Amino acid sequence: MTSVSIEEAPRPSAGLRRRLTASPLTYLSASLAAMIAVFSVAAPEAFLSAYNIQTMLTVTSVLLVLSVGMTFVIATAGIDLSVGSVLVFSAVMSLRTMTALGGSGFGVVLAGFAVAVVSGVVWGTLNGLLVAKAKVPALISTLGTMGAALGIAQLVTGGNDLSGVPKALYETVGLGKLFGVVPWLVVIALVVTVAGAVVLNQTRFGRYTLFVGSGAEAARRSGINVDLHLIKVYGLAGLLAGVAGFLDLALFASANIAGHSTDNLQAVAAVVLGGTSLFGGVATIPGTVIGVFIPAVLQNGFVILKVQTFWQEVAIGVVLVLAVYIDQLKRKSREKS
Amino acid sequence: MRTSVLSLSAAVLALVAGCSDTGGPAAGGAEPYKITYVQGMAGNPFFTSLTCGAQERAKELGVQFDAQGGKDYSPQSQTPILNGVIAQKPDAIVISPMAGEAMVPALSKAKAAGIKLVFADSVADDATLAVSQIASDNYAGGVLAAQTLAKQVGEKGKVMVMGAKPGISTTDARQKGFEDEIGKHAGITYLGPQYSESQPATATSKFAAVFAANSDLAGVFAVSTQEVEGVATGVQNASKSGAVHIVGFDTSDPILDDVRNGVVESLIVQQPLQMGVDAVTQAVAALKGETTTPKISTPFVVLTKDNMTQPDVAKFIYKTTCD
Amino acid sequence: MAEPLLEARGIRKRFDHVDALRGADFTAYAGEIVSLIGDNGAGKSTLVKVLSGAVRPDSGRILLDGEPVAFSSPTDAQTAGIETVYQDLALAPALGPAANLFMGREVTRRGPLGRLGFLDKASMRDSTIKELASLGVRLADVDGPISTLSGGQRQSVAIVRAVTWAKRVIFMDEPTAALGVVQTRRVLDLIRQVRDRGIAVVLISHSMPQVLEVSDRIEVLRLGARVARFTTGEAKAEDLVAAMTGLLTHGVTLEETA
Repeated sequence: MTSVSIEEAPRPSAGLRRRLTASPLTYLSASLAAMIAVFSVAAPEAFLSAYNIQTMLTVTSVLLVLSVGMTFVIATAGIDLSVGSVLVFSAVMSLRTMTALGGSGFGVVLAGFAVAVVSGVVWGTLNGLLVAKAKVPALISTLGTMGAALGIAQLVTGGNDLSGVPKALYETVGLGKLFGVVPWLVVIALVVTVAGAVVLNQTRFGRYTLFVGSGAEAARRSGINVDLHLIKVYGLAGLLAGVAGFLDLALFASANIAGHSTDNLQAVAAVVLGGTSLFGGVATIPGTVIGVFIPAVLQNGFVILKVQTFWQEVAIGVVLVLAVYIDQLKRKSREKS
Repeated sequence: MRTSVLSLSAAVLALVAGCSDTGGPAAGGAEPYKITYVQGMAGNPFFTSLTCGAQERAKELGVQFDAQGGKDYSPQSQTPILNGVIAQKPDAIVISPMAGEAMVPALSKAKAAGIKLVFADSVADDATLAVSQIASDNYAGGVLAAQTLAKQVGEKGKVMVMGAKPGISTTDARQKGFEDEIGKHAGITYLGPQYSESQPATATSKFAAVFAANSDLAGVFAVSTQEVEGVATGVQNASKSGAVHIVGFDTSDPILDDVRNGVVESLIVQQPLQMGVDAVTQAVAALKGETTTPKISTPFVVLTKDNMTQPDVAKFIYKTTCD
Repeated sequence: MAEPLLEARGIRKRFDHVDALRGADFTAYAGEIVSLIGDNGAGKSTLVKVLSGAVRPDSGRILLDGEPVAFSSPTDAQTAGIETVYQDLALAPALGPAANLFMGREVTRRGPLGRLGFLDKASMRDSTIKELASLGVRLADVDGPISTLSGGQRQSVAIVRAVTWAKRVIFMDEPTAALGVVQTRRVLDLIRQVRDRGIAVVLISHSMPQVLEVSDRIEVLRLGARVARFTTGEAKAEDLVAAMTGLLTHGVTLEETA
C-alpha cells in the first residue's frame, strides 16, 4: 500500500479556478466596477470628465503609496499607526532642506527627495527595532512614534504650514502630466504599487514577510532571521511614508502639519478592505488598490450626485465592515479541522 | 496620553519657574498673578499670534503668563490639557474652547475653584462662566466673506462653501454667516457646503467633484486654512486660477503665496494679537476686582494681493513665532 | 548491525539548577525507526534539541557516521542532514505546500533577477509535487494554503518537508498525537516509507501501542540517562513502562546509568 490519500492527483488549473471564483478580490473588483458604472450612468459628464478622473487619481496617489507600505506591515500581523506623522515629518525635513539649499534646480529637488526618503527610513527602522528587538507591541510602538514624529515636526515648524516648494517640483511633478494626460503623481504611485506587488509575490522578501505573519516561529526554526526581516518591513513602510510626504509637497506646494491625522486609519482600512488579513500571512497589493479606491470613488460620486455627507460616511463604513465580514466567512468555509 | 505627560512636565516646569522672582509689582506686593492660556491647539499661527499678544500684555502688566495647547483641533486633545492647567491652580485661565458643550463641566469646576475665566476666539456654551468673551464675530466674518465673494463673481453664478467639520463653533458660525448673506444676493446660486474634515486632501477631492459637476462654478468660500489650501490646489489642477474666485479665512505662509500668485483672491483675517491683549487685560481686571467687559468683538481685515504689503494690513498677518 | 549513524555519548545538560541530562546516551542506525520514550521530565525533548542543534550540551560527545560533530545552531544540524518535525509542525498555515517545503531554502531564479531575490516558483512547485508523489502523498489542491488541508495532510507535508532535506536523520516529535485513527495509519505508513529510504527516523511518542507497532528499536530515557534498549519483539508494554519508572534496565551497562 503506497498511496496515503484518496484524493485525486492535482490538476494544474483546478486550484486556480476555484481560488479566482472564491477570492474576495473578485467580489471587490466587481463592487468597484459596479460603483463606477452606476456613477458613470448617473452623471457621465461630471464623473467621467478628464479633470475629475485626474484629480481623483492624483489626490488618492499619496494614500495609495502609504497603503502599499501598510500592506507589508499588516502582512506580518503588525500595524503602523505612525505613517501619517512620518509623512508630515518627512515633508517638513525635505522642504526645509530644499529651502536651505535655495534655488529651484533639479538637484535641489533630488536632495529634497533623498531627505524625505531617509527621514522615513529612520522612523521606520525605529518602529522595526521597537517591535522586533524591544518586543513592544506594534500598536503601542507606532502609537509612540506617531506622537513623536508629529511632535518634532511641530517643534521644527512652530506648527505652521511651510511654503516654498521649488517650482520645479510643484509644476512638473505636482501639476505636470505624462503625455499631457496622466499626472506624474499617478505615474509615480503606479510604479510604487507595481513594484510593491512584484516584491510581495515574486521575491524572497515578500515571501518572508508572509512567513513572519503566518508562522514566525516556524520561520525562525527554518533559519530565517525574523527580527531583521521585521525591521526591514517597518523600514519599508517608513520609506514609503517618506515618499508620500514628498509627493504631498508636490501636490499642495506646501508642507501641511495638521491635515494627515487620519491617514493611518485610512491606510489600514484600505488594506483590510482589499483583503489583506490583519492576522498576517495573506496579503494582496491589487486588493489594497481597490481598497483605496472604493472610498474615494464613493465619496466622489456622492458629492457629484449631491448625496448628503452623512450618508457618504455611513455607506463607506458599511462597505468596509461588509467586506471584512465576507472575507471572514470565506476564510472559515475554506478551513477545515 | 502623550500630551498629558507633556503637559504634566510642562506644568511642573512652569511651577518651578513660577517660584522664581520674575514678575513685577502685583496687587499688594504679593506674588504676581499667574495666567495660563489654553490654546485651541498648539502650533497654529492664529493661536500663536493670540499667545504673542497675550504674552506682550502680560509683560506690560507684570503678570506671569504661559500657554499650552493640544496636538490637534479637538476637545479630546484640549480636555486633558485644561484639566492639567486647572490642577496647577492659576489665578486666571484664558481659553479658546474646542467645543461649546463638552468643556463646560471642567470650566465650571475651574470657576468654582476661584479661577477667573476668559474666553478667547471661541466660546463655551455657558457664558456666565467667563468674566469676558473676546472673539471675532465669526458670523459677521462669514457675512463679510459672502459680500466679498459676491462682488468678486460679479453678483452672478454658482458658489459653494468648503467647510471644516460640523460642530466647531467658529467655522460653523462663519458658514452660517455666509449662507445667510449669500441668500440675499439674487443672482447667485448657492450649491451648498462640503466638509473637508480639516484635511486639505479631502477639500481638494470634494472641490474637484463639485467642479466636475458644475464647470461654471464661479466662487468658493473656504472657512479656514486647511480648506483654503485644499481648494487652491483643486483650482490650480483645473487650471482655473483666477477664474474660480476663492475667499478664504485666516492666513498661513502657503496661503499668502497663493494670494501673491493670484490663486486666492481675498482672505478674511482676524486679529488674534488683539484678542490676546484684550484677554489678559480683562483677566487682570477681574483679578483686581475691577469691572470687565463681558463681550469684546475684534474686527476683521480683508487681505488681498493689492493691500497685503501695506503696514496696516500686514500687521494682522498671523505670526509663526513671537518677537 | 552496521555502524551507528548518529550516536550520543554521555551528554550532560543543566538548566539553572535542574540536571536535564545526566550522561545520556543515544544510538540511531540508518534505515531504522527507533523510538525514544520516557516519562515526563526524563529529558527526551532536551536530548532531541541537543541532537538537532537547538541546544548546546554542557559535556558529552555527538558522533555522526563515527565522526565527532558539534552543532552551534539548528542550521548546522540541517547542513549535516538532520531534520526535525516538531509537534506543532512549524508550518505557515496561510501559505501553500511548496512555500512551506522550501521555507528558508527558497530557490531563486537564475541570473540577475535571482540575485535580487526573485523566486523560481515554478521549479519549487514541480519539486514539491514530485516529492509529495514519491511518498504517496496526494493533495487535491497543491497550491492552496495549508490551512485548508486536514490534520493528517498537514502532518504529511511537514514530514515530506523533512524528508526532502534530510539525508540522514529525522526526529519526529509526537507525529500522530493530534490525529484520528485513519490519519494516524497513513502517517505511520509514510514514516515507514521514509525509513525504507535509508533515513534514521527517531520517533518520540507517548503511545506504547504505537511505539511497539512501528519501531524497529526502542530506547528508554529516565532521569536524563538511558536505562534500557530493546529491539522489536524483545519488549512488551509492561517492560517499557517498568523501564520508564526505574524498575527495569535492559541492554545497557551499569556505568551508563550512573
